[in-house]
Amino acid sequence: VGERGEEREREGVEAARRALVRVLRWPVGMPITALVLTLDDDPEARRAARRSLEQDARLWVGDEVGGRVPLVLETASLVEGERAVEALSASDGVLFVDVVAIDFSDTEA
Amino acid sequence: MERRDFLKQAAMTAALIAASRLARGPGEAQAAPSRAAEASAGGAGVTWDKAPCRFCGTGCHVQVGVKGGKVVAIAGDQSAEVNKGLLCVKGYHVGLALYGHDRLTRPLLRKNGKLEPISWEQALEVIADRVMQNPKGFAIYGSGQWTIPEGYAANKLIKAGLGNNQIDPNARLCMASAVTGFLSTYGVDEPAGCYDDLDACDVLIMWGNNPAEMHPVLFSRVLERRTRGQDVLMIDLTTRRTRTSGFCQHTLFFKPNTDLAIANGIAHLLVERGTYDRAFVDQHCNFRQRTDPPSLDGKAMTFEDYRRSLAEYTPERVEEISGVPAADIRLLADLFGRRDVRITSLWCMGMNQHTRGTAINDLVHGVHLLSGHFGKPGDAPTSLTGQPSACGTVREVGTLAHGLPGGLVVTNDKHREEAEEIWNLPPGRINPKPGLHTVEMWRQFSRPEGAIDTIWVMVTNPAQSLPNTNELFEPSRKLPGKFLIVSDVYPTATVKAADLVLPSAMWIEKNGMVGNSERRTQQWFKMVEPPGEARDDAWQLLAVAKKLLDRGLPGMRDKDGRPLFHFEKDGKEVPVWEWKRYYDVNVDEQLFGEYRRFSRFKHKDLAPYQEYVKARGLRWPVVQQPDGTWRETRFRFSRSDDPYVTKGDVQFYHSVTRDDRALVWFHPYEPPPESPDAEYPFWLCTGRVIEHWHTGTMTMRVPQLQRAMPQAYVEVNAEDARRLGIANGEVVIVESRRGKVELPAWIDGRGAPAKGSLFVPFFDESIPINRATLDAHDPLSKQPDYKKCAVRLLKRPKGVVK
Repeated sequence: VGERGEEREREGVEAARRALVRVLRWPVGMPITALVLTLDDDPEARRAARRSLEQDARLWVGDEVGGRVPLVLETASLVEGERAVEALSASDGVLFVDVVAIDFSDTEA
Repeated sequence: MERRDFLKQAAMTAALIAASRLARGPGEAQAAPSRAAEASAGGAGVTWDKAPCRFCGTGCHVQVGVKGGKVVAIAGDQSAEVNKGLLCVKGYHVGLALYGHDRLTRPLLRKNGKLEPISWEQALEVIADRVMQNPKGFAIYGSGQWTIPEGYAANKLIKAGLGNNQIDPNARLCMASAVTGFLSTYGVDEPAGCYDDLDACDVLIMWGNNPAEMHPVLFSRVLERRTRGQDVLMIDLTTRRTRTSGFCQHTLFFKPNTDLAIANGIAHLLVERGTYDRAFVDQHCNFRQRTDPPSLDGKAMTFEDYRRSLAEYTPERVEEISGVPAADIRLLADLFGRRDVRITSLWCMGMNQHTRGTAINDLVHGVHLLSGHFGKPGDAPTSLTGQPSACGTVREVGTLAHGLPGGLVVTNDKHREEAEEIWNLPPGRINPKPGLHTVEMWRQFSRPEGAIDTIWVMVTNPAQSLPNTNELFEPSRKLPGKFLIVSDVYPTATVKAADLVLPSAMWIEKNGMVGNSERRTQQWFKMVEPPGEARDDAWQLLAVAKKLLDRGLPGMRDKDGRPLFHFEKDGKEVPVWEWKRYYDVNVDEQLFGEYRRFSRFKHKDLAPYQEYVKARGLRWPVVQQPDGTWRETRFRFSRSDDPYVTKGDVQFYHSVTRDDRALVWFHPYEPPPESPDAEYPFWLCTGRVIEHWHTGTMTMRVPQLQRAMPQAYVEVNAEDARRLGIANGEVVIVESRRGKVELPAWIDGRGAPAKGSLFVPFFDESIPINRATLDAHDPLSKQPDYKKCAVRLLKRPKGVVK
């Protein structure tokens, strides 16, 4: 690797530490995300998915259109929003999550 | 209504429109294509404009909301045919990629081992000094992330100005084998089909391709059809389980490098059973075998020769070679033998990053041609690209060491004459000898006596992305006389190793044009200012060109004594090399106007710039209609859609054999250059993860993505881990004959790798896996193989802490 390579590697580790600190300090905002969920074909799985969605206070669940559910997700931070989208993707009865729009105008990016 | 209630209501409207469109098809919910998006962010004070997403080669369009000089919202563009208003998780964050806290904002020069700020004027002088010192040894290493005008300016500077042809892009590492596959089969580059095939196919075969993670918007387009009740049979041909596998009815695991045997097995059954499309073959195909040395036109063979060559590839023999059960080879051949289904094949790095990359590309095209699954919507062999303008800037603008714009090449006398005419150069100015391809360029830069002594890297990160970096990248950093210039937006691994750093504007901080995987050329305007002293890459090239002109470098003037780069407004020259004057004219429009003249030679016709301003991209050839409008082409070589087809239903009008026929090749299966052995018993495959794009220089700066996947890892098969006593999360060593890294083990991980194989993603700068990869490359495309080399997996000795 050589001395300069090792130096760069050390710099890389240091940069990663600095990045972590930045992440922890990332300003909190209130992003609003518009999503569309594609639900499973199985009616029971769809009903269960829908019930689960309606229990999440962060979600505004729209009327289903042909197996697609429009959603609005309001979270306290971008990080929470990201996690919520990931969690929705992994939910029973949910086949796919498409993102339609994200508004972070109240978030200090 | 409270402001936030308004925002939420607007977001629900946008989601409802998208859901309706998905559920009912594209005809629905088009009345107000961008109104929902425009309403969904603050309303007052937010301005919206279109741009293609910055990341992959899919070419999704986003609507970008700007307020107070900053991006405040991103929405899928409802008017865009590619993504129909939807985005993936990376598109979701594309606006934030501008705002990493460590953007480069000043030029930096290494002095006494440290990078120190200097002025732009000083930086340009340093570059001019390096060129003047040795013009032959000055190279540009570019990118499929260059915009079309940027790549065009760089190509002209090198090929018309410096005359050494020393320019090559990172796309050499990702799609060069697709290029040679198209050239050797059809005589002209780029897919005949387009994304519309995904809406029409009955069978989708993914050849070593993982679109669920790498091109998720395209993949969701197919899933959308299935959830509407349409039957789409999806087949995953793969060496490791991916997110795509989970959605496919058939996942066929094959041993690394054996995809050639599988393709030959399909062709063998089509021929022996007589289920190939005899009429299509008789009218449209010739047969070819390879020569030594290999070439793009090969050696003619008869159909009977072809049949005999395939004879050994029985399903049982293919099973023995590849590990794919004979029954599954028959399944594939059954499908290709049917005339009542439409089959689309997709591929990307799996087939291209391959020492037999051209050959496997040829064979997959060949299976489609042999079976007549070509030329109808849904019947298409289609390669995907990983970068937003690998097609537009590299393949079409010709920023490869042998290329000229419009599909022309420096080795062809006539092509050079055409280019010299458009560029108004004296005859013979363009050098007929190709420059060095990527691997060789960096090898020459890494040797004291090597021909290259300065490389200017733009929009890419070779310190992390080149193969075998211990040999191809690291040595030059210790050699006096070797000088590395890097234009970038963040302090990447390459920036940290550079001698001179130029801060660049990014994405919507500048005007731009790109070309996606389906021949679609896209345009956007600058929307926000770049930070600090960051400036457009095209400006950097033009400012250097002006310095070289002032210093009297031969080649910087045309045959009439005018500067090579000349911009006018109202008949007067505009000094665009002065940054404050750069946007006095639309430099992109003028460069594109000149470049567009090249597009007619290979029937890749482009429309005038203003047509792209109005559209969400247009697929070439774009031809003007009698009423003055411009019409794009979805299906090339097909009479139903391609205006250049004049004979029959299908016409390969750039045929290698000049008889309107495509070539069906025979290539034998051969073992790879390096396979596991007693000393290095594991296969190593490298690749991407959904959270990060390429070397992570942008996505690792988006906190959400960085948190979701903070570092690289090695996926280890559970049985292998048990045998070696490796625990989940334990830091292990992955070592090849070329280099090693330490990283945590993830038992089975996402991919559940087969016994004896490992997977490591390459996005993490702190775990540079390309120290271990192989620089062996395809003999025609010169593309290296990142998907298979031999490594060993070791437990870290106790007491050693990295």
